[in-house]
Amino acid sequence: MNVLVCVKQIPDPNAPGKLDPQTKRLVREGVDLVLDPGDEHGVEAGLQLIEKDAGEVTVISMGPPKAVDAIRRALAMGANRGILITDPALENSDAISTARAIAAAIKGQTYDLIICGTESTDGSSGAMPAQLAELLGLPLLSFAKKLEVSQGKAVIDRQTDDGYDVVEAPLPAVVTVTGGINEARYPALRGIMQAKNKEVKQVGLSDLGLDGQAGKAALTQEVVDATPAEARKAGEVVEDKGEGAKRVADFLKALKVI
Amino acid sequence: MILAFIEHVAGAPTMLSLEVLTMASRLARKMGTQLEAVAIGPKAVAAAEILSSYGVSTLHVADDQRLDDYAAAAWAHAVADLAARVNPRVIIGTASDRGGEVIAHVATRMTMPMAANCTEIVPGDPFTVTRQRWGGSLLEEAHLKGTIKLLTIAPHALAAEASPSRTQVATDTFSPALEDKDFRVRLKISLAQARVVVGGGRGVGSAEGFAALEELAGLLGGAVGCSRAVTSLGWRPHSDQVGQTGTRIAPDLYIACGISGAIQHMVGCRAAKHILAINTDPGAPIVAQADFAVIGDVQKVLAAVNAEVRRVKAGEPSRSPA
Repeated sequence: MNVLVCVKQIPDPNAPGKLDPQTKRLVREGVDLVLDPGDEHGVEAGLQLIEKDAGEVTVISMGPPKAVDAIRRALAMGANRGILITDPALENSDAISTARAIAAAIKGQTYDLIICGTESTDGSSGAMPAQLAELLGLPLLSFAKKLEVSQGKAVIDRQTDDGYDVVEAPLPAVVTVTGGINEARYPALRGIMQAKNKEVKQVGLSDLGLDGQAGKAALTQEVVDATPAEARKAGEVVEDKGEGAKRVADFLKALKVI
Repeated sequence: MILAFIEHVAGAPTMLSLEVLTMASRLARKMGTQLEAVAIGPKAVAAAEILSSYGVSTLHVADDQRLDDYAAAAWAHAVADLAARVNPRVIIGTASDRGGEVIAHVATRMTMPMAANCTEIVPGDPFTVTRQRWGGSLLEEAHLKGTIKLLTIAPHALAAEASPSRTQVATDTFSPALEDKDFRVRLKISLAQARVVVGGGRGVGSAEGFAALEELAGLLGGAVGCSRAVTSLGWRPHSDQVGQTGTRIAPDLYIACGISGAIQHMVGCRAAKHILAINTDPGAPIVAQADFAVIGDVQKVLAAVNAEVRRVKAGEPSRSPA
């Protein structure tokens, strides 16, 4: 079983950075950059599959040269090798550019499964995996909160807005995993040491044969402003002095829940 | 022409799709163009009745029995086929788990730009869209180019609003040229859960403490969820977790019990229509974001709430406060 896991390096979501007033992008300098927590679950899912069955996990990422750290983190968890797509011309790539670059970077290689997070924590568009599946002509199993692979098929529990579906597809396939699928392992010291010697192949735009089709040259959107979203407003707050339950019941009645 | 991709349950458009139609009909007015809709599966014909209150002139129905079950690639193939025939300037859908995926497939098939999770759209050349990033905590304004724009609308970015005047909706049934490969993803079982989620955090106290939450969820026909702290403590399975990537929920009501409301958790329940919090700490972030909050011990409050809900459901008068 050969598994490819797509990962992204993002500013630490537990210490969100500031917006650059000029570029309207998140300031990356002086901010802790981490492997997207959502992707840790993807790496974990890949590792669990090869531990059950033989095989290898390759991790692929696109980003500045620094993004190699996110790949190293996945290698320290136990992934076998990494691919980093990095090129100044790929800065500000949108989802489709990213999907094109990944599809080009793995051309000619075969993977039984390509695992992605459902969406990046920072971008949150969730479009890349479907676009990658479409470009590669592979079936997409998305929002997996459970994944099983056997007899050339992948079966998932697909989290939906109001429950879940059991869905299957033949391999090779693209699978997106939710944070609910597993508890990602913490890299052990030994893994961290071994990761230093694992291969990380760097590829640029010209290696991919994508000149003009990805990154700046193919930009269809441009960010012009960004502001923090308004938080939900507080409603009524009552101290429970015995009548709290009655008030809750009234609230539930008003919402027609009871 | 604007083409709205409508999700429906046996011909009844989903609430999020009605929100999309509301956004789309306003956009169509601003652009001085018509609004048409596409819905998948033979049962979608019944949606025409409701669409007539949202300014839709034509409902296109992809008619193929195989499309009844959700299949992103096949649905996208149908929408892209239609778009090639009717040539819309905008294709707009929900940012639901299905809508976002179908629109992403369509964008790739058509090689057209897509903006996801939009909350506002200003037409022009280029379009200016406001869209959610960081799970909805950041709003980004972006210019969008391309001859056909693909957009998904963030859940509850606006309220669905039916127009008092009705349009005559023409129905166009079409058979997309689907291929076997569009149906490689096969739905085996679909399990719908309730519109109420009762979530528990560290403040629930213990794995056993979730019995009270299970009981309330049972009474309300809801499901139980939990915070990351709770799965880390081993009190609940990972699959119950709300707030990590992809485990976003959008119920009508989220009842947060003993949950402080850390950033990641709030990202997960932001799309809930209403939040009810039960917490000992009046300063907890969740209290500041709840529609209604009770400050008190989770177990004590829940025991009383469960008794009260049972009474209300049994039609008995409520007990006066002690």
